[in-house]
Amino acid sequence: MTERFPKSPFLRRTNKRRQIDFEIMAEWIEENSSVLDLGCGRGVLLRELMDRKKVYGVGVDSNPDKIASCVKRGVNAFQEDVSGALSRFRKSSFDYVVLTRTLELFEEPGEVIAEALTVGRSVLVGAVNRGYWRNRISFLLRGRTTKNAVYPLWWEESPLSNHLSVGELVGFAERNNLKISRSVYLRGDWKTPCSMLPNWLAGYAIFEIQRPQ
Amino acid sequence: MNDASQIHSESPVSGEVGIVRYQDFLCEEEFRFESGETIPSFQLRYETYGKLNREKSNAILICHALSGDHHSAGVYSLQDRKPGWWNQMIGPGKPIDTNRFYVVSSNCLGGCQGSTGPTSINPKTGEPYRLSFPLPTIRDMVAAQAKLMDHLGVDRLFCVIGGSMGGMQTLQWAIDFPDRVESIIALATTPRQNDQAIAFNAVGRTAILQDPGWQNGEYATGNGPNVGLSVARMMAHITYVSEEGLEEKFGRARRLLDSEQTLEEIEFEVESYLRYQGRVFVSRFDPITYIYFTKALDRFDLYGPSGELEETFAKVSARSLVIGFTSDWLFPPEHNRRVAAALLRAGKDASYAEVDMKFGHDSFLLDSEELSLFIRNFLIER
Repeated sequence: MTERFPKSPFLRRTNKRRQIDFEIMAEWIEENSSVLDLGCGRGVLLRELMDRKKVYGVGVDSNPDKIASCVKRGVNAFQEDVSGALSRFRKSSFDYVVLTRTLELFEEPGEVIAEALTVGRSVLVGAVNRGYWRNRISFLLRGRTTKNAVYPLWWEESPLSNHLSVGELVGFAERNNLKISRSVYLRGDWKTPCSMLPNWLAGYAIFEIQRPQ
Repeated sequence: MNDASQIHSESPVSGEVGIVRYQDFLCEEEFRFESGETIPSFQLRYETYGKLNREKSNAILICHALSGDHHSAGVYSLQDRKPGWWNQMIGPGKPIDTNRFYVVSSNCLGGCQGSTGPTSINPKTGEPYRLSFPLPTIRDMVAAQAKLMDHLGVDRLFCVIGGSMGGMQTLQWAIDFPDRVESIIALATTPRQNDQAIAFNAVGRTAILQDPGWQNGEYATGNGPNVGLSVARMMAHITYVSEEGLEEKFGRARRLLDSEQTLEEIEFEVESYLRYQGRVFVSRFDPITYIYFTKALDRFDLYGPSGELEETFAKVSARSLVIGFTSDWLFPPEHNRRVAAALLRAGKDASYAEVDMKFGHDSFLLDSEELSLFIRNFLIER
């Protein structure tokens, strides 16, 4: 597994947590490539990629408000649930399929990644690490899941979530014979690179997953 | 850009198009239909709102649905209580902003509301065409509108917008005139009708054709298959609404509560409503045009020879916004999704948005903040 931290000037400037994966993915994604963003929200990442990397982008989101924002930004957006939309595209029709902070919400995330790897040559995943030490201690000491800036909702308000950790994702890739061709781990501040024990020390992780050649 | 402000902001102050007049465009060239048949000349009725800019780059064409017409905005006089069919969408400051855009709202070739069709006089015979009028296709309607654009000096349309049959025309515009269309908005439409939609049209046509007044199309004006046309309209109208919409409107409300009513009398309010719809329609629509237009709808099919929609979209260059309506069971959301998905598979710029409205197929004609926002956002100045 390779570990590389991108030398993005923006990365040092920004304090915006929500843009961290955008920055790293924008480094990884090649110019003039095609990108399918599953759970594209308001199309900020795709707009950025269109402007900086001249990509052909398509976003998928099931929320009409978010689609309206994408339309305003001039970002292609398709209103449907992720698996419905994925089934509409041909094999290898995108260079990259992006899944940022959505994987936890799928009923069958393995299926989604498998389908995404069919439609795209490579899948970029951005995920909060539930295995981060503070989350573990929180549960260990209080017997409750975390409630903080990243998980702002009480138990009764939070959506069904299939907890994901760095270890979980690495294990998934191993079990399914998938290649993690790139990864970036960030500490709890989602800024500082994390170079050791990522399943304990990373607050946020970004992976590029591919099928073995 | 602030996303939050766009969603919750109050709608900007908007005005009215005001008093409008229709105009007639007479094309004195021969028109060749897709079928190969010709007519020596034709007329299209249309209205315009707003001004064409010097660069001629701000024109928007509005395409109407089966029973719609060229009058999409404004009123004909101060006493006129019924504005055009999309008045809430078109006007100064409205989503289709006439301060920015030159809006052309065109009628359809083969129609009966001012454009040349079966009721028009054939200059060669001096008699109405009736059934000798060639059967138009959606493509023919678009080709005739293209002649109107030539006449108006509009080489390139900023956007073509239409719902239902108008949505089909919108897609056809993007396919047939890729160099003349910069963007399209297709609402509540389909790349081809399913058997259910064809079946409903077939029943409507049967009602007209079985009416003794039909007389093989040789009826005197106003004395035609009025019952048949009215039944066709009543039934079609049901397909334009939804169970929930009807229930909200009528809730099984009864008109007569006593038990002495006859079977012919109207008992439920919904019956009265449908009869009214039928009666009004008969007074303004021609039975042959109804048969022709429903045929044009049935035969419209964008799937290419290999059965792939994207094949047909290969030459499209327009940015597209396709909008489906949750409760539309005539041209359901899935049909609209297929259009946008095929455009995306063909590598085009396209979006699919779904508006959650409960009034069925005709939802696109109604005032909705959500729908307005999609259209406003798509047409935004960049």
